[in-house]
This record gives sequence, C-alpha cells and structure tokens, in this order.
Amino acid sequence: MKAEKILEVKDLRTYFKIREGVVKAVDGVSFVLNRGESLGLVGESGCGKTTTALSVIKLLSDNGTIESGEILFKGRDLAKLTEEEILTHRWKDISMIFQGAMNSMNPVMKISRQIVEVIRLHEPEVGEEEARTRVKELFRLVNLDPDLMDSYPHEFSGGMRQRAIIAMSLALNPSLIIGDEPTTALDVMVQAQIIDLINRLRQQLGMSMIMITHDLSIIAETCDRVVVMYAGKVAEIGPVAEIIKNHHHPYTEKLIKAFPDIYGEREMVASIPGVPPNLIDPPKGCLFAPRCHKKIGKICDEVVPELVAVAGSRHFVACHLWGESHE
Amino acid sequence: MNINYILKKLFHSMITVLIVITINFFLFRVMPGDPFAMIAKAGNLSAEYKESLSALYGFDEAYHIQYLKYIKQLLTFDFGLSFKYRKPVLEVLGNRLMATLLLAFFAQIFAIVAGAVIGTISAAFRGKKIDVFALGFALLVYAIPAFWLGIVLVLFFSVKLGAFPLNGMVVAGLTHPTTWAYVMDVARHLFLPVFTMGMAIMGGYAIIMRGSLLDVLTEDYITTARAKGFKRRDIVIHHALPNALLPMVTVIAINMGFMISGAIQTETVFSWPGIGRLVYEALMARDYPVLQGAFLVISITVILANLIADILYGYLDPRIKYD
Repeated sequence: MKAEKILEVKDLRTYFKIREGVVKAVDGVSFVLNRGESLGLVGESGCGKTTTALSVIKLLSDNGTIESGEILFKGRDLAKLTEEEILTHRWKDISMIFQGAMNSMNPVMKISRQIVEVIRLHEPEVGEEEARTRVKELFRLVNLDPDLMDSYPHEFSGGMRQRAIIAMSLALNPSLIIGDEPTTALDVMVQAQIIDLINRLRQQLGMSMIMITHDLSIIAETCDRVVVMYAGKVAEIGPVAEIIKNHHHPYTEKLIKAFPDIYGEREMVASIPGVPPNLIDPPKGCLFAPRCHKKIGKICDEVVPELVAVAGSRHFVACHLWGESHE
Repeated sequence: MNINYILKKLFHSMITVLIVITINFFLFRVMPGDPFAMIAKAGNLSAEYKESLSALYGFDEAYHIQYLKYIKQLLTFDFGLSFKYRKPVLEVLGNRLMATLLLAFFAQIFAIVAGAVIGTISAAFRGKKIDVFALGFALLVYAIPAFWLGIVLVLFFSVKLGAFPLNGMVVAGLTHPTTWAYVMDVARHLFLPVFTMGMAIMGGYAIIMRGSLLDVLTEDYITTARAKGFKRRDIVIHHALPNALLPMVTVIAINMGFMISGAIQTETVFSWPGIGRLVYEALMARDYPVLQGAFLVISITVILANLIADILYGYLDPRIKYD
C-alpha cells in the first residue's frame, strides 16, 4: 500500500529570539503525514509540539523564525514562502481547531459573521447569502442548531463553542486540519462528545489531521500515529497502539506512567522528576539524560541519539538504548 | 441592546443627580466666607440689614426646610438669583455652558480621532521607529500644560502671523450680516482653543489606545484571525480595534467631565466666555447661587456623558449583561 504524503516536515528548526538568547524551541523535527491520517503531537508543556504545528503555516510570533528545514505540503515547500504567499494557504489548505475554552472566537462578533468572513476572504466570488447558507450546513454537520448561528460566542456553552470552532475549521474544506488541544478544559462528558464528533468527521470527510495535546488518552482515541516530543526534538514516532503498549524511549515510558490506569491497581500517578532542559543553552548529548532512569553511561551525556527504526519501518526511537552505537 | 438596560442606567443616573444635589446644597452651607458682605458690596452691615437679606434669600429657615425648597425650585428650573449679576442663574449659566460645550465637543472629536490614529499606528508597529516616535510625541503633548501651549499658539498664530483672532468667541462689537458669517466668525475664534484643548487630552488617548490595542493583539482570537489568512492591517482594523475601543469609551466619558470643569486654563488664555471662567469669577465674587448652579450643571453633564458611555458600551460589547 503506497500512501499519498500530504505533509512532509524535514529537519525543521524553529528558533525564538528573546533577550536572554536564542531559544531552540524546535530543533530538527521530521515527520510525514499521509492523506486521511491523523497524527498526534504529544509532550510536556514547552516541548515544542505547538511550535512545530504552528510552523507548518508559519503562524509564529514576531520573534520566531524557521531557521532551516522543509515543510512540503502537497510537494510545495511552505517554509520558503513569504508572509504574503502563505496567506492564501492559511485556512483554505490548512485550517485550525483552536481551544473553545480560550478566547478563540472574537467576543464582539457574531459566530455566523466569523465563519462568513473567512469564506468570503478566500472565495470572494461567494455572496453573503450563499456564505450564510454554507454556515447553516456547517452547523448541521457539527450537530448545532442552525438557528443559533447569529449568537455571540459568550452565549454558547463550552461544548457548543467547540462545535462552532470545528464548524469554522471546516468552512473551506481544507486538506489538513491542525487541532490545538481541542478538548482541553471541557468536562469529560463534553470531551467525549467532541472526540466522537472529530472521529465521525474524519471518517465522513477523510480529514487529514495533526492533533496537539498533552493528553495521551485523546491521542489514543483520535490518532493513527503519534510523535512524542521532548525539548524540541522527536523522542519516538510510531503507530498509537505500538507507542502505548510497546514504547521504547524512557521518556515515553514515564509519560505514559504519568497517566492513571483505571483498569490497573490503585497507585500514585508517577511524575517525572526534574525539569526539561534550558533550550537556550541545551546540554550536549541526549536532552533527556539528566532525568533518565535508564541512562547507560557517558554516551548519553555526550552524543545526541539519532532516530532509528525499531520494528520494521513504522516505529522510530531516538535513544542510545536502541541506537546502533549501543550494539 | 434593550430598553430595560437603558431605563436601568437612566434610573441610576437620576439617583446620582439627587446625591449631587444634596451634597451641592450642604457644601455651600458649610463653606467659610460671608456672602452678605458680597451681596451688599460693603464690609460692615447692620444686624437688621443682614437679617432682611437673610430673609430675602431664605437663609433664616431651618436647613431641612431650605433643602426641600431648594429641590422644589430646581424642579421648576429655578436656580436662584446671581449675587453678582442680579440676574437668574440659569440665564447666566446658559450661554456660558453652550460656549464651553462647543469648545469641548470639537476638542473631544479632534483628540479622539488624532489619539486613536496615533495609538493604533503605534501599537501596530510596536517596537519599530515609528512606534518610538509616535509614543514619544504622545507623551510630550501629554506633558505640555494647556495654558503654556495656548500662549505659544496665540503668540505665533495670532500675534506674529495674524492668522487667527486673539481672543473671544466673536469679533467684539461686530454685527454679522448673515448667520453664515456668524458661524464662520465663531469657527475662526474656535480653532486655536480647540487645538489647544484637543492636544492637551490627545496624548492621553493615544497612550490608552496603544496599550489597549497591544493587549487585544495578544488575544487568542487574533491568532485565529491570523490563521484564517487575514492581512495584518485587516486584523488590526477589523478584529482588534472594535475590542480595543471599549476602554477608550470609558476614558472619553470621564474626560468629558474634566473638560467642562477644567476648561479654565484654555478659556482664560483665549478669553473664551465659557463655564470654566464663570466658575472662577463666581468664586472670586462669592457668588454662591452661580457656583451652586454651575456645579450642578457640570455634574449633570458628567453624569450624562457617563450614561451615554454606558449605553454605547452595551452596544459595542455584546457581553454586557442587560438584566
């Protein structure tokens, strides 16, 4: 089976210049996303998962730049596009599902208006009425009452707002949708409903997705493959089931142990001792080494581990425990 | 927007007015100084004469009776007689208030437009040279006292260039053949005072606008707008500005009060026949009825400006609760 690559990120490096120096937020990340596939980006706060996803459409703050690397979207390198050129790709080709709990929708603008404006921005030939008809369809698609489309965001509950945000992300039928913690801060029942909605839409529309979250259970339910990130680098990539049951990186192991297992014995959830390294002046060698419980010696402190295939070609891990140098 | 919200705000405003009236009444009864000497325009008054004056102005009655009478008078728009002008206070206040309102209105318009534009440009180019220049300019005009700027402008434009009239609201003694000629005469006299007063408050507006816009620009919905593919310019104008204007509305309403009462500096420099100068003159002459009337009128203007701001706020921000 030869899958069609929709997005290929090659050796991406995104740095932020701050007063104290240059933060290497994303430092050499590579991954592939196939059409119709859903890829999870998981890791602690500050591991670079959001920066990686935002780099794809160059949605960085003013002090952030893509230093090097390629972002091949349908074969075109987005990293080389100017600000002007990338504008036409945003939302039309790659849209986002933001957190509904945050102020992701403009509080003084009606929801219908916020969806209509993006339709008419990218499809100027579409009239106001036609755009509104499309908003109605989108509302039905996400199980919202179309009669409520002229509400303001604050008039919706958290779950409804998240549905409206999903409807907005689908407005232009994009090839790729990036979900930035779309279920965070919703209560569990609503969270489950939103996950069901996302899964239904994925099947119905054949959506390709990148899902950013720190919650592995969300990844398990919505993703095909997962990228585990640590300190701006990829620690492990593989199919979701493989990563959860047969992970190889000590960090992935710790990350999974940090989640309570409702079927297992009652025990304290394990935290990971220590803090992630300073990304302005990172230590040489493996960045996880100072916190690692399976350190094998000097090599961990001195040599940066490469991503190597573990089982066949679908599972990769960057750890000296599995590297050739160890054998 | 709904009618209940407006009615509720109106009710609140009326309560505030009542409180102001009460304070206004007692304030002048506990103030030091002898108004009778001023009325009589003489120092040593006989006891009988004082008593007769006291009876004339109703000062001989108990405070609560005086208070009720005062409120009754106000309800019939009777503000009493001016000690100094020997005319009804309302008549004295009327023209002066119009002159000040004219000045304040145009100064506000000028300051709002200039302040909003400078603040917006400054925020949109944060940290760039243009921001440093705009912010520096705003701080500079913010720091310049109105009377100083007024004097400099008079010296340069009126005395040296003769481009604008020196003082007053119209050319003294001139009869205007048409209404249009009158309007043009007032407009020529209005230009420098409006500019002076406008500059005095414009700096503050620019600084608030910049800060408010910078806050809004870090909001999540701005990231959403960027992700949608909007140009930076469109994001600032269509997505950020409507939100950033909210704090401006409040400040403009508060400023309205300062402008009516604080116009003294500008009005003195330009001999503008406004309420600021009237208050000053009335204070010097211990013309209590005029002062009392002026305070009330100024307070009502401030309350009215706040009422308008509240209603405008409800219109601009759909999150304002109506109940």
